[in-house]
Amino acid sequence: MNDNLTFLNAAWVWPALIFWLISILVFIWKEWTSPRNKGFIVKVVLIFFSVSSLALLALKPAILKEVNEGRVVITTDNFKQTQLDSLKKTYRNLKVIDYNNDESLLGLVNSEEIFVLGSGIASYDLWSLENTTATYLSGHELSGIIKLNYKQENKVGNQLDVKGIFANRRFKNRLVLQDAAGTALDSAVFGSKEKEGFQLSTTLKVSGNYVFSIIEKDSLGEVLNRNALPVKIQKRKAPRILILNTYPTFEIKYLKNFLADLGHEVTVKNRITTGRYKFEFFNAEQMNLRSLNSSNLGGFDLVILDSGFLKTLSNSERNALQKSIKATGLGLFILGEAKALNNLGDFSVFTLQPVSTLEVGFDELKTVRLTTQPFRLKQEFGLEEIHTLNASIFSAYKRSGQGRIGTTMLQNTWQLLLDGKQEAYQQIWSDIIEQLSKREFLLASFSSVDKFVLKDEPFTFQLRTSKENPIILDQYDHLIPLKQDLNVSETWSGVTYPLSLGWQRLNMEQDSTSSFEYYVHQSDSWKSLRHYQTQQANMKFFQEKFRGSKDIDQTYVAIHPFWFFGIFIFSMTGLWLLPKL
Amino acid sequence: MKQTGKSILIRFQKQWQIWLWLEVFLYAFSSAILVWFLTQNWFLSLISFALIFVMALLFKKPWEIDLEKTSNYIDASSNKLEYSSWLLLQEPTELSGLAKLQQQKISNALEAEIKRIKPEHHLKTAIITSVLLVVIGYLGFYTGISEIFNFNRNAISEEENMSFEPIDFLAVKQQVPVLKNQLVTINHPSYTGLTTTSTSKMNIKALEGSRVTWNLQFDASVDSVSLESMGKHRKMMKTNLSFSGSTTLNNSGFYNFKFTDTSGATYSSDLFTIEVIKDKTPVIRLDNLKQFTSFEYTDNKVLNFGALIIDDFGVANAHIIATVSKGTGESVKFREEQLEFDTPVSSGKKQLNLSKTIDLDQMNMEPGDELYFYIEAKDLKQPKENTARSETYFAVIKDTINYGPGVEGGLGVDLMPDYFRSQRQLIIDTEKLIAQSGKISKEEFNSTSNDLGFDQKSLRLKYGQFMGDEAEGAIANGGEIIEDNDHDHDQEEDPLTEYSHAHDSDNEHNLVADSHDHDQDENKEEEGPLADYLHDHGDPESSSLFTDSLKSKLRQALNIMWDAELHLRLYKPEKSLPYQYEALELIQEIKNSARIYVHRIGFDPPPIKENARLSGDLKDIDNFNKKEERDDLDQYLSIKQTILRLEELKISDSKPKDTDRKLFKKAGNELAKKAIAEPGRFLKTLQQLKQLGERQQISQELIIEVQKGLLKALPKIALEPQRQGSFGGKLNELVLKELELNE
Repeated sequence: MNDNLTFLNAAWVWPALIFWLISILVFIWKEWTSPRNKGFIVKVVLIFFSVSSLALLALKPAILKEVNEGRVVITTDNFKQTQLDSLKKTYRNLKVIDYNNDESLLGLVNSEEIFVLGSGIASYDLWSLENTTATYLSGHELSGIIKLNYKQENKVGNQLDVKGIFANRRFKNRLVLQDAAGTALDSAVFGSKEKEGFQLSTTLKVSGNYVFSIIEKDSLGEVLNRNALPVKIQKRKAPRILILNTYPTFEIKYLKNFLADLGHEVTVKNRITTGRYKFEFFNAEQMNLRSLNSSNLGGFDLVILDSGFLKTLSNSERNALQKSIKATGLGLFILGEAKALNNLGDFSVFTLQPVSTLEVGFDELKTVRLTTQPFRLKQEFGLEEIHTLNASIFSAYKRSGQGRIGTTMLQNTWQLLLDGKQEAYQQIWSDIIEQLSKREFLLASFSSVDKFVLKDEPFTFQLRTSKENPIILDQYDHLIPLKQDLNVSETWSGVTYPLSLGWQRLNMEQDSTSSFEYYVHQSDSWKSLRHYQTQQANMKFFQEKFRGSKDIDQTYVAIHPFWFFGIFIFSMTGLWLLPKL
Repeated sequence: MKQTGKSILIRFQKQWQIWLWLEVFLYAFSSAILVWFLTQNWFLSLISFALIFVMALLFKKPWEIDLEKTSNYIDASSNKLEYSSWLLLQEPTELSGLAKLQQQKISNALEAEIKRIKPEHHLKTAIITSVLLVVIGYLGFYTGISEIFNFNRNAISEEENMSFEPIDFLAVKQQVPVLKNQLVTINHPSYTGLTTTSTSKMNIKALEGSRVTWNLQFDASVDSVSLESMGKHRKMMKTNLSFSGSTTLNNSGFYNFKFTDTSGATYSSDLFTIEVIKDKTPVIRLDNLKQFTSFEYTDNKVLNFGALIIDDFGVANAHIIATVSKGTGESVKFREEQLEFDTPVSSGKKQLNLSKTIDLDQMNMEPGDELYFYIEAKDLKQPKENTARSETYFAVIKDTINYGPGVEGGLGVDLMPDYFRSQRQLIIDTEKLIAQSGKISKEEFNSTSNDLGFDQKSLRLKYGQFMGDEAEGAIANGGEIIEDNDHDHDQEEDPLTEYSHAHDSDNEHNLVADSHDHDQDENKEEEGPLADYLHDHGDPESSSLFTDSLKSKLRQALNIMWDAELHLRLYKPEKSLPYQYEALELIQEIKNSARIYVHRIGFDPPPIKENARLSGDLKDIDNFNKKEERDDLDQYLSIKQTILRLEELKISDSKPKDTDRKLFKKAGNELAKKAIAEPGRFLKTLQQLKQLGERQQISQELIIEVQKGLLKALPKIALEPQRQGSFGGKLNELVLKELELNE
């Protein structure tokens, strides 16, 4: 068979061939045996044609053809009518497809040229225009929020910061952040600039899943639109802290009071004299801490000690501490004289540089002056900063295996408390403790690729888990197929199409504690933002591809059955007429 | 032509009528508004509208304005029409030629004239009157004068009306009993002199100690009514169809009513506040008086001042508490007196203007004495009156003697008696005498030495007095001490005890009367059964000003003074000098110890065991364990849980379950604690929360409202360190390992 010809119903070739052969033979034999053998040759020819055409009707032969379907315009939301009109004027026979009418984009591969007008085609549909000659012409300027960034997963007591860019075409429009009950928490008023950044923030008070909202109002307070801002607020988890001290200091006294008052588990081992200690257990179970070993260190997330205590540790204790840090991710925070940091053996990980200033103020704590030791930490590979001022690092940590070892040059922070600057004190110590503490190990971690999920539209999520074959079910217990990453075996991705609005949940079958909640938005919410995003995606997509001419596609096109039918009728007529002549 | 003239007239007539109708309407309408403002009763207002309308109509009679009257009026008000406008009303066919001519002329003239003529009316007056009426009504309404006319005062007005909500909508089968009458009677405490007030407003604001009586009347029979307040239930007394209950107000809080009808369905009312006002303490203001006044001895020592005392419900009593202090140092004595004002204090007055003149001489004050006084005022509050006192004022008569600098500059008080100072003086004098030896005659030398010896003796006697020795005895006994005690200064026990007299502790009564008595009481108990029957003042040694170690030191000093005196008397001042120095040193030590004694009041350091110190012996030292739990859990826990639960209810549209109701109740209790401080802010939320907890059907709006209120009630959360969670996969581990290798 020729490459140019094929049968669409190729599976039927043999049955058709057999039928054809038998029919031909039967009819030829019939004509041969009939008495009046006039016009035998003509009859045989006609039989051949009619039977063949019948067989071909069934087989549907197709021939390779160059396809050229002309020019197509796809209109999407927000397109400019003038662009469409001028295109129509330029090209006759322009085919217009309205993307919003759910028309299929599949047959467009063969079009000579495609124009996409307006906000663009949803990113999950872009693949259908691959290998086409397409031009993207963006639509009207967008008005409203076009960029938005906020932490959807947050913790009680933290600040919710909603940052974004507002494209504004009217003076004095404003954005208002409202909580779940509709209380206005923060607002921003915009001037006449075309694009303006904004930041709205509030402190989160209660744990749970809430739908905040961002409302756009005009200068008269009329609500222009209202967009849901889902926030997942988790409960606080306090780290368990062990404090070891060679002698009581005010720093430790205030720190332990601060933590204990917040209800944290704090255990303090304070040396009174040689070999004698004072053990204090705040909100914690009493335990044996006479010597440190990996089992009693396992109960803590962070060890705060002074350099003096580190020196008094026995070898086995040092090893246990070192091991806990490296293997389990325990945090270690070393306080005390800066000079002593250099002779701590394995724990001497910092390099110090002398400085002359003894008082600093940090960016976030501008009004607060803090006293420091006359050193700063040298910026080097692996050093992660916590508190810095003008490129001088005053608190930092280094990774050691899974864990972290940190220190600070700040001293006498407790004086902040006496000065009534509670917030600054809390800020400093929260920073340090949070950064250094052992991270909670999660069995599975979900992340959503799409920020704004809509009903009946694909929602792509990513899962990282150490489980072998994770099984993910949605809340109706439908199984969602997962695709494993080729290179990183722990990364999986899946796509689901949410069936209803509001909070939806994905569960992992192997681990009931690992679940992921996502919010399905109303289809008309965040319009400007989604349009902006598709616009960007379209620009990127159409820019990258198909510059210049493309090979015109050839495809098999079925020969219209009408032709075979015609031949059949014609030969039948011949067969009918011949005896009558 | 004729048509025009007549139509003009008709138009004019119509206009006139409209003006009159307008007048009538204005009068009626404005008076109706006035009536409404005064009575807030639509019905009365409507009636008055109709009444005034009819009256004004009869007075103005707009229908009487017919064409004839109109033409007469027009004729009267214009002289160009030649009194012929009536002609326009006639058919031209009925008129003579001349009349026709005139009619035509007039018609033209009228067209021009009509613009000038205005119908007779009093619209201006009507407008002014009605505006006045409305303004009067509004002012009456605004200032509350309308209360006098308010006929539905005792009937319950719409807003105040207590509404009862059935707790279980499904259980409501029959006609719901309706509250017919509600009345709160507040009996203020009798001392306030306030009359009993009754109101239908259920939010109560009353003075502490007031008695509140509720009276509820229903239109149908009700099984029982109870009053719920801050978690307590109280049944109300039933009399016919009305229920009553009463209580005395002590604290602010909230309450609501609950009633059960005859079929067993329960209904609950809104929550109401009880705000208790505290009786204020009197305010005292003194005029014309400096805080500190000092007089020379020769001055006219009179203090003159006026006092203004104000109290919200009347002052019961006021007087001056004055204290006179005499003497200095250890010998200071206080005398307290209560002085009355010159103007008599009339009890029960809200404001008192009092004056007082204090003559310091009459108070038996001498130079150096000080007077402290303040004013104390009490109000009428019962059962326990509020007492207020003013600041303390000082008046001093300057002493004529100048003491010079005190012993201790650092302490505000001169701690030591004066005679402690003179040992140094004696030393100086003795040294002077030694230096003069040879320069002066022997007799003079000896007599000076003897004088110094006498001074030394009197000094010793004074110290002895201080020790509790009797002056005479001390001298006599002292002589014997030298022999016994010369060589055992360190001896703690005083050998003198055997010789001392049992009655020689009189002096202490003046010095430290209280503690002394107390000591004796304690001694009595320890001494056994005989103690009560014996006349015993206790050991004079143990009852002096000083502790034992001090006492022995002083005794030692006295003995050394003896030696010093002895040598002075023997005319050998140079031999006496070392003893004097020693005595001075001891006295100095005593002074220092006394200073420690004063300083030590706040902190008592434990004694240091010198033999155990720095020995490195840890045998008895042990590890110390301390365990502390913070048991005050989150005081907003239920509120937070409720907020989350409401969020879920809001989305899912499901009905609250029993567990939710319990939760709402708990949250209500938590909020109530907060709401007592600020009832205005949280009352509504509290009410709504109660509805949530009791109603079967809950609307979305209610949920959102409650959630809003609860979120507002939550305080700002402090920053605190948190544990972060993260997924540490193989990739992370690989990176970390790689990092470590490259370090």
